[in-house]
Amino acid sequence: MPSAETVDNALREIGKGYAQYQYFFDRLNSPAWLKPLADRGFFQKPPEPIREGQYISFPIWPESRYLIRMARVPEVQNAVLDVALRIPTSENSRVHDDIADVGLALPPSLAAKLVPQISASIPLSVKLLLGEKVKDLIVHLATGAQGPAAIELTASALALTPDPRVDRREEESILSPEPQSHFRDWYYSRIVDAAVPEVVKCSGIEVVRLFCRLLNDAIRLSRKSEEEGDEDYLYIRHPAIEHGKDPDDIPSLLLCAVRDAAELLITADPSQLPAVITVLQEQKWVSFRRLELHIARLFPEQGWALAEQSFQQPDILSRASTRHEAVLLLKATFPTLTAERKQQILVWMDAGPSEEALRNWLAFIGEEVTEEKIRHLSNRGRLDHFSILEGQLPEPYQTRYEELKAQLGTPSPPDRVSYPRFGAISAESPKTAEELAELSVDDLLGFLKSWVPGHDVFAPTAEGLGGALTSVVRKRPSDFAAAAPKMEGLDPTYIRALFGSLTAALKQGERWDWGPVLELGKWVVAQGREIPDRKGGLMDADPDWGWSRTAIIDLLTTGFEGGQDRLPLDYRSSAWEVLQPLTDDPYPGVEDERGEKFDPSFLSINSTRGRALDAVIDYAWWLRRCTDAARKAKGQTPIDFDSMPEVRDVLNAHLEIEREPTLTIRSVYGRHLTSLASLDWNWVRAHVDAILPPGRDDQPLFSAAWESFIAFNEPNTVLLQALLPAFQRAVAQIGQAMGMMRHPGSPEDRLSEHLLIYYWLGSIEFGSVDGLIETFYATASDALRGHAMWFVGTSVSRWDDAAPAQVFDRLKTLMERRLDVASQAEKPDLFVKELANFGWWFTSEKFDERWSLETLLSILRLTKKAEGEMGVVKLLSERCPRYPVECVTCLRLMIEGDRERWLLLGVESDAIELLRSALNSNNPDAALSARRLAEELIARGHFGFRTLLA
Amino acid sequence: MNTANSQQYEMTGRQQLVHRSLSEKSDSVALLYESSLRVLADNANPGRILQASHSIREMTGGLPKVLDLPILSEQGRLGDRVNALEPIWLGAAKSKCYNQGGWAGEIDGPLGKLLGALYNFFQWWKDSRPKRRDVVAGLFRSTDPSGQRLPETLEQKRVQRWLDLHDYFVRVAHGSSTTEDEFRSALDELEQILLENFHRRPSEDFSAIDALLAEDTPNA
Repeated sequence: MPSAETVDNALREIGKGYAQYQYFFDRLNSPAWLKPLADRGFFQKPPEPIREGQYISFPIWPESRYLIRMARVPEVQNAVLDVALRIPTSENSRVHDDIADVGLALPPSLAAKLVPQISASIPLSVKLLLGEKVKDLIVHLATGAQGPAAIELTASALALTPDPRVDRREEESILSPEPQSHFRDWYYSRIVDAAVPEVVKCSGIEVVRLFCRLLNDAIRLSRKSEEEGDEDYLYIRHPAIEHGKDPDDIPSLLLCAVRDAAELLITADPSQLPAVITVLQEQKWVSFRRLELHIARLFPEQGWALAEQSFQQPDILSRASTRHEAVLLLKATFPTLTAERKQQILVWMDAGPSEEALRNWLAFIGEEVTEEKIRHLSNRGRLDHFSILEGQLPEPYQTRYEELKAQLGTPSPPDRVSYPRFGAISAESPKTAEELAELSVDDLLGFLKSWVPGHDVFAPTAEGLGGALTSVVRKRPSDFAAAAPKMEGLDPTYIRALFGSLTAALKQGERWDWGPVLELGKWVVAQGREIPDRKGGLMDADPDWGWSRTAIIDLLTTGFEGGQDRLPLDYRSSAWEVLQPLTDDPYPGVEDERGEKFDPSFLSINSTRGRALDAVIDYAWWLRRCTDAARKAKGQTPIDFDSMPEVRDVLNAHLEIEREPTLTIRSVYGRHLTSLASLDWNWVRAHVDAILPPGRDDQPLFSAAWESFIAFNEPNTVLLQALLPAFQRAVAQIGQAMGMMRHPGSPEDRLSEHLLIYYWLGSIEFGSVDGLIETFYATASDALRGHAMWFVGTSVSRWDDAAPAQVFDRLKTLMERRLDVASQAEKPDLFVKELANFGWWFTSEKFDERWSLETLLSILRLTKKAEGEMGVVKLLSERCPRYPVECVTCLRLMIEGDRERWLLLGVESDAIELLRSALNSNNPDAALSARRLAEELIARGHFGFRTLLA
Repeated sequence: MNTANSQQYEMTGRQQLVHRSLSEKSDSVALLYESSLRVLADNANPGRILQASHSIREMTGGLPKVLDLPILSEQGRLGDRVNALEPIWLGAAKSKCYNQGGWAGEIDGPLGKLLGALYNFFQWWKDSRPKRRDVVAGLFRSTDPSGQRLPETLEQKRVQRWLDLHDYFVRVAHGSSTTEDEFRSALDELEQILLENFHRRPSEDFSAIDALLAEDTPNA
């Protein structure tokens, strides 16, 4: 036992700071300190959780960790228990985990006394590892012959509470309530699996009783209040008692737990069967009847009496919820039943379902009630009943059974079960793809014309047939391409399938005669979009010609992308005759541009007219590519819109507001601006103001085109000059304009990237007339400026050695200017994100070593933050031998700014090496700074740094 | 100052460490500390202990403010509250219950108003004035780099040590008698606490803890 003076000295040392306190308890392995510390008030005040905003953390309690270690020392186990029992209730989950660990370390007889305390912690809303520990503790108690404690803890762990939606009066809207457990499904399942076998061994029938009670609760809490009777519908999700459990379904889990507990108990002690049955019979739900039947079957020596009793009411063989178990039981026990019971069953089987029940059934499914149908169904029922006793039927029933089989065929196995299937369902076709493939093209087209589809999605539909058609066309694209005109007049669903298949085939390298396909295309576009009185939808049929039009665009675009090889230039006029009308498709209209989620760029690639305009530009490039080689050979320039006036006409037309008022189509121009400039620079220059209108009243049109442009185009110094007014407007509006684009990223972020690229290329400059870079830095938020810096740092890191030196010089100048501005600012914290992203510049290792280190140091003195901090620490560690003072100072400043205390996660060893370099350097200032920082880090809890000072 | 009778003022190594640590937090606090040492070194000054106590009392009382923590008293606001009570008191002096310096009779309007105002004053005093213990505890927590709180058992010991020392220096500054040995012992303990908080050397503390734990180990 330590002396009082030693204890006082120790308390004085550990009172100097939390690190000392933690260190002491982490190192304390002597049980002799337990009483002195307990007498001085320790082990009584666990730390509370720390809540910061929406986050919560659970501090470790070094005192409880000591208790766990001492719980393994036999001499003090009683004392440890006394101390643990006096720990007050806390919301700190770690403390409860530790108390559970104390229980696991104590002998079961002592651990049992902790059960009430641990049970009280189970309802905590946030639990860390308690589920696993409770599981282990239950087993620990059970194997240690502490049955009542094991039962109590199991009951607490598996207790169920009502679905809170019921209290919130949402009961009407929920399909069925779900009982709530204290542990999530996975832990709940593990506790059940672990508890049942072990607790049964020591507690016997009490375990069965416990799980029956839990199952009763689960069923009761799964039902809406107005439901009555004994039906629990558990058979739907658990059709066979003997099958495995669904670990995500608590009632199923508990059903199997009752089963397993009963089986284990009776297997170990057959005399327990009557007691088990009695416990089951105390519960009203039909699932318990199923369990009785199951048990009776598994243990026939004693179960025959239950079978005899159960089949007094033979209709348990036809009730949906008991059928499976009853059938199995009857098959197994029929020979052992009394003659009277056998006869009763056979007579019941021979009678078949009641006429009243059959009439009701026919009415329910909407069929005409006739004597013939009643007779048929009755015989069907008799057949199914007799089949239960296949091989066991006495005469005359065997003969009747054979006659019924001859008449109606072999019945399904009576004990077969089916599980509900959930998942994707697809449209059904009247013929399989294999059956269609056997037809000639003409015969197949004939079938498409003649077959009348329904609209029941669970029956064959046009969509289903179209799906089957798709795979057939894929295998014979040229045959179907040649026959395309014969499809005129067919349902649009089939025509879409054709075009879709041809597109896929084209991409796979297939080739065919485009003429007939384009002829069909012309016919399709001539139909317009809408089909009067047409009904369609998903898995049914196309609602109009819209999807076919899109499929045609896909086909044409695929052809254009592949050049002459895919779509020969000979088909220029035919292709245009198909494409041009699609540029006037009514979708999208202005009514499609309403709503908060409207994004012009997104809609442009998901609407017919938008995609048609895209295809027009693809068409132009197709023409260019098809003619480039020949023109180049003659020394001619590539063609422009003068050689494709049809393209120019469409593009001009859709810039007229009266004709094209949508923002969606305007965004197409923005998205393709660089592409258009490459096709016809003069046209773009002449239409810049139309595409990006300068007027204030045209802000929506400007934004639609601008956001697409800036998001989808790379910087282009030639285009910059033509778009200078637009850039100036966009930069001036930073933070003000309501952006419409939702994807892929912020247009303002992209704008910042463009500007920085123009800056480092020398296209724009501080002090230049355009004023772009100054305006950007005057209007951009700290976050946006930070993004710009991040972009530079990460871009530079990917450059090779060919990058010109003047680019680096320009970037250094930029950084120095910004640092100067921040240093002189009244509120330097408005520059934190901007400057912190210099961390990426630093770790790129592309800038002069000394310059980047000195700049980093200046920034850290201002902000104490560096992004990419792990990489920064690693690099500082590498450079410390050459620059010990600077590197230690940088690390110290980063530590001071690390409020979340995440900095050293993953780089502690690098930080240790950094300080070691400084300690071992010949620089006394560096060594002193390193020593002080090491002490600071130890005081923060990073005990690994102590190795530096040993 | 009689230079012949005054000790040459010179900080010990430990005092230099204390001074430097305080300087890193606040020049004014460090100055108070230095002032107290200089005054104490002047043996010819019969009031040196009292004057040094003043400086130290100011230093210990003002440290929380330096660390952006509530200080032990907020006399300005207190003054406002007292000033607000004055007219109510003057009004109460006109109460029928007040007669020749004494109070008797049924509570009337002016007296009732005074009693109500006093009640509110002391409620405010209780609720808004930070408790000394909490202020000192906050001081120690703010200087602990771990960001975590010591158990209350340990924290209260530290707080009590600090408050005892602060109260000692306040008493001495107000003329309570003490010996030089007592004063130097208290100053020594104060410097120790300052070093523990502003010049941490946990590695040395860990070594001390290791030694203490080894005392209890067999064959230690």
